Amino acid sequence: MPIIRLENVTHNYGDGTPLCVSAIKNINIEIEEGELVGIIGHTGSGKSTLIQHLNGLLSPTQGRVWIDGEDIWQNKKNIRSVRFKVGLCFQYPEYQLFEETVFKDIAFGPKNMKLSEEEIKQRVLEAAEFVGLTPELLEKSPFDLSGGEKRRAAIAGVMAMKPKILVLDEPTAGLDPRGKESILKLILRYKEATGATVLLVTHNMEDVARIATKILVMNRAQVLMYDTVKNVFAHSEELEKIGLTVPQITRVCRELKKRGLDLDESIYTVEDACAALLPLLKKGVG
Amino acid sequence: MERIIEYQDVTFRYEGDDENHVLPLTINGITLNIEKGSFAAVLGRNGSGKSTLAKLTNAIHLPEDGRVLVEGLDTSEEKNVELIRRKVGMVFQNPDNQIVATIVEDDVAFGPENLGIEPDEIRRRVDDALKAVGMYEFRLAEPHKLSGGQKQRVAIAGILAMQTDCIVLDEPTAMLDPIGRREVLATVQRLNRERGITVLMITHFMEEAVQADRVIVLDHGKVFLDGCPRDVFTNTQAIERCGLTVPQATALTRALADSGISIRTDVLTEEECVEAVLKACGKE
Repeated sequence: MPIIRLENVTHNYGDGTPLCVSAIKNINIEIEEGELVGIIGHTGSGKSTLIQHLNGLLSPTQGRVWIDGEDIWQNKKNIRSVRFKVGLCFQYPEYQLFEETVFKDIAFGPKNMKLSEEEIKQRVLEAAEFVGLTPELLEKSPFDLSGGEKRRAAIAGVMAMKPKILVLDEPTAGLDPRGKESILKLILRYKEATGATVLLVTHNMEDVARIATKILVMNRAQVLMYDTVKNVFAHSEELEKIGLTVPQITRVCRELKKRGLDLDESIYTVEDACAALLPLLKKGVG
Repeated sequence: MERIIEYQDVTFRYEGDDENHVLPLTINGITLNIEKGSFAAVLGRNGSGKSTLAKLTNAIHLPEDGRVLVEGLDTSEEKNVELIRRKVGMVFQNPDNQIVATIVEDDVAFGPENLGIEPDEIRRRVDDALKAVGMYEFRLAEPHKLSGGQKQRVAIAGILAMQTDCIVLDEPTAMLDPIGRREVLATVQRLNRERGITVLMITHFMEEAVQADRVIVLDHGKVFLDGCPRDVFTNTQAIERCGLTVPQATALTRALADSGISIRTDVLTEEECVEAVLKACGKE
């Protein structure tokens, strides 16, 4: 059974007015438990609207949203519990820190879940340790942390709710390569430790190529592709036509193939490109 | 070559919460000359001092020690500040934080209006600036309806309308999608080439830095590497030591060479990488 199922979901902004636009239109998709899905698409393609349907921040104008086998709008009173099951971490989450201390900020979600004091404390400590924040930082004001620490504190706040589905919008935006790497590793570790399903909205194709199991491509309010990373990057020219980029290494391999080298066109990491080229080059030399 | 900006042994530190809490130097002895008409990219990990360096350029920050000169004018002298800000325009990361008006052309006119320029001249400058960034057809649009890349181009037009000689951009594409990034980079390159505007661009994207004439890498508040993109990026070890990565094209030829293939390793772009691999195959 898929953990996320969208059935014919449409969302209109300004419904019933002359300015009505469909931000997403007739979306049908099933995502299996444990996948790490990269969601890509240019600005305005419907990515943000889509993810806000997963935890009930937006309700569909038409269609149904099933999370973990349950139609989330069946009983509107239950919508809170969906928010604990699906943790949503927005873009630049560090701007959403607001409490007096880092501890209280991370505790905000678990507190809303009405957990016991003891359980809340344990979850905060666990989440902080998980994202690599030292205990002495927990008593500081979130505004005294560095940019990278703030980002991790914000992500810890979502992880402390132990969501079965973790949705992150551009979690590595604005970070340097090392900062990016540490956030990506953190996401992978969370998935491995909890078995959670993770959805990652990003413009960074190299990130997607590195960690995703599947890619969902949004274009003009609809799902253009939902497939394995390899299969999606095999359509690199089509992706470029709709304004997306593929990793530089994919473009290099595509060109080499056109120029007569026997290469798989869905290569998307430097390691794979190197491994595929070595036998060809050694033969060429010998 | 004529210098437009000179950083002379500059140090800077942010103020701590109280007197007993002195923060370490963010800029720790930087000496650099930026030549008029050049396009320099500034790289470095988070906290390396990049944004601080940018803000030292037009007197948003003043050095603790040393001097920053813009066309010979010292930023530390109060009387120079207004003139310096007319010479050096800044574009920041977040497109939504730098637009002040409700119509695109009003936003671009904001700077020149504050300089007390004649209306006819303002009209001419605004039209010219919007054409230069490819946003003339959007002159009557509402900024909030534009894409991120378009908003950044409007911000750049606002600077052009001031007729500045130099633009300092602090991660102008960090919040944009690939199309927006391309639009902004192409605009900046064109202004540099066609109008001779000096560009100092801070970025985390190596593919953007490759397009510059010069790459300056900061680390711990000092200049760590400084040279043409080819020299800087082929120094893979040094690049990785200061927490950065090289473009994938460079990484591929390096990895092949490390595996014993005889191949050129100073490639920077996709095209160069493709040629190098084909040559190594004997398929030139």
